[in-house]
Amino acid sequence: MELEILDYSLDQVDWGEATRIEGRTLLLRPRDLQNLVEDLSPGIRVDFEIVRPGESKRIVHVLDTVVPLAKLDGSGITFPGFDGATELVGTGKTARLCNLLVTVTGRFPDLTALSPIEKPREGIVDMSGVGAAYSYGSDRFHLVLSLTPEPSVSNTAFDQILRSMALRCARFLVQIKPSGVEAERRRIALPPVDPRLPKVALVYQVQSQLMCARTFYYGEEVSRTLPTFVHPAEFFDGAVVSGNYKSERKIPTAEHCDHPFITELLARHGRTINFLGVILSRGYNDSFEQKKKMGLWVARLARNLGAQGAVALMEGTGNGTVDFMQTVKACEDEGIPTTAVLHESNGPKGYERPLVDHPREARGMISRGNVSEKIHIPPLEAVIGGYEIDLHLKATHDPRLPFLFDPTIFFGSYSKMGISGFRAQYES
Amino acid sequence: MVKVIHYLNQFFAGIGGEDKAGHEVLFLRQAVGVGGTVENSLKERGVEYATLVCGDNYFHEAEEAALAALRAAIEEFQPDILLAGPAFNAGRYGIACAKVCSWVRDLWRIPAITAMHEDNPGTREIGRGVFVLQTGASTASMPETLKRYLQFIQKLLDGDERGLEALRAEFCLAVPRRFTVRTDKPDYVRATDLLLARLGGQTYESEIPQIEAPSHAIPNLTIALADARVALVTEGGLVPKGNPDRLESSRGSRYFKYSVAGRDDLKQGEFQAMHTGYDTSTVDRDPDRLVPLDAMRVLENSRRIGKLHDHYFVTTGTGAMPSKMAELGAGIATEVADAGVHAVILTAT
Repeated sequence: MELEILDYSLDQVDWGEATRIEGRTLLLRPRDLQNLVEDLSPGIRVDFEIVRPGESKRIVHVLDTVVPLAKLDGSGITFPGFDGATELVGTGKTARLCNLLVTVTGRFPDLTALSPIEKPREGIVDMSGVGAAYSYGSDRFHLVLSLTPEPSVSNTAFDQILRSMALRCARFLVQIKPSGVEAERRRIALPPVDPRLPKVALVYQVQSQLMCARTFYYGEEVSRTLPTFVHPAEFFDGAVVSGNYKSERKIPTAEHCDHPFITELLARHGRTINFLGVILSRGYNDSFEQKKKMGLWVARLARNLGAQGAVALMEGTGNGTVDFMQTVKACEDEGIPTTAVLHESNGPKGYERPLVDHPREARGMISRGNVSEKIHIPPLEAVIGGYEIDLHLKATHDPRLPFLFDPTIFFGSYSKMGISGFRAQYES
Repeated sequence: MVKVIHYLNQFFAGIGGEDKAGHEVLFLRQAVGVGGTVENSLKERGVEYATLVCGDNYFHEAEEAALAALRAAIEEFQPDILLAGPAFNAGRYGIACAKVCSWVRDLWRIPAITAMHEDNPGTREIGRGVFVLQTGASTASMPETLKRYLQFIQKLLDGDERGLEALRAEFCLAVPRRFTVRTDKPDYVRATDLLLARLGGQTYESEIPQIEAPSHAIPNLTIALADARVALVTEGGLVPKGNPDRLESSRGSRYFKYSVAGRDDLKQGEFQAMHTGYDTSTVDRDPDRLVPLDAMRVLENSRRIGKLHDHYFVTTGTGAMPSKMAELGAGIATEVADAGVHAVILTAT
């Protein structure tokens, strides 16, 4: 199984009279974008904005972000299970605009009808300043779709439509034929390598519970699947899509499609490791017994793949940590040393216990930093998406003003803190 | 020339004792009380001294107003260094010293030094980068503590980082606290490196220490179960429909009790779960599955237990800090014990 990726990287994104790519400049005609999503948007106003890395801009109410991704030759599909018949993905040629993101912002039409667990959490993206190192996507261009639904739109419809719009825009943008620019080509494959290299699997646990807190695999909710093997190339073709609005903890769809852990293990494949692929599993199971079983099944799958070691990451926090730790424990019990990556909640003053669950088997942990430490967040010049942010159901705040809060206010911050190289450490 | 501002409570500023604990913030452009000793010792280097005085109760009851007054004073005086205390084992004073130091250090990035005894509850409020000198429990250690303040100030003025670290190691309270730092490698590189080190049989260090939760002995039931009064307690956020007391759906800061007297079960539509940490739809359909009133009535009627307590207790555990939950738990425990409850069934989510 082999996928060829053609990466087009942009130097500039701007509005233009016609939608086209000139050299490394993407020009967008607003009318084309409106036409593209028109049939999806009865009852929803869509405002388009362009945001560039380094700008003094803050995007608020971010729900998801997607990397433009489409099959080059018309054969095959991306984002299987959404908008069309399902096919297996992970082969052929996929083109990407690799430093552009389609970012959807907005508020659900009827927040009072959502239970506490369903309510989206506030997530902001700061393109510069202190927050940039905590904001997923701060280093890329954004085409922002700000959605304003009328009250007649149901929450269920809004949830589906925002995803459909993002995925459709993501496919559309790649159809704009770049001219005179060479793509950077990447091969996503796991060819046979020196059998003496240690065999390593990636355990990839996602949050999947119910509407607004779920993840899709080929369009199916992961909560209705068992731990399964997924080839890295399938991720790059959009086999895993986020429907999770637990903002700071979520793995955005763009990250599912280009996960730095997968890229790192692919880069080391054949050099220092024999990368076996990914085990996709579900966090946030409802009972301890279910959490334990999920861990046992992951460990059995890893064992049958022949894994001698594993790297494990999870989406979420608290509740999901128990599933995660049961998985780490089960892998270690199977004799598969497992390095697990997590954020810590040491409290604003740093003295609280770092993790809600930490069995002694989890002896090789990597930290992403203390997510409950307060930081001063200065204002940026422009705010996109609204003028009132929700400080996690405790208070509201005008995002044009400075505030003191922890990294949980930033979209995709748990992932981004890891990418930024943050960790927690005892104050010397 | 160094500008030092010193935070004192009403007692150490010589204003009065407990009767003056409600004193508002006072900003004086001179040294007061123990500040005089520090000022005198710094005279040779050149010093401008100011004092902030605040009553212990005032700080706690009107923290926002107190901080606003402190902010105005600090913006006017533009200090180079903040001192607070020493607070010894005085709890309210220690908390105020720690909070003021943390707040000033965070906002103005100037060095902040305070001092207290290791048992002072203020040790739980120390922010990042604040120097907290260890003192004895009483004012007997005052002269020595003032000497330490001076040593720290001198090292700070000399820019002697190494000397400062040595002083910190020797004289500061060792309260293990974890904060975010930036490494030069992202998590995916460190994770793979650590795994390879493990697989290669090399030494490695986990980045997250394993900290055992404090253990609690389970008390024996002091009475026959058939005579015992049993209470239901949950952190699952179950409240009467409409959430009349506005229990938070995450990071609960309070607990509530609700009567179940005269009820045999908790009906759908009359109760709801306020909780962002688990899928609450099952509980919303049948609240007894979180607070099992129906089952307890069966046990009560069949005399397996003596009596079900008339109230159940509830908070929301998700996202909350363990220290906060310990505080709420202690409150619930005291209340049920005082009500003559012998045993509790605690349902967690």
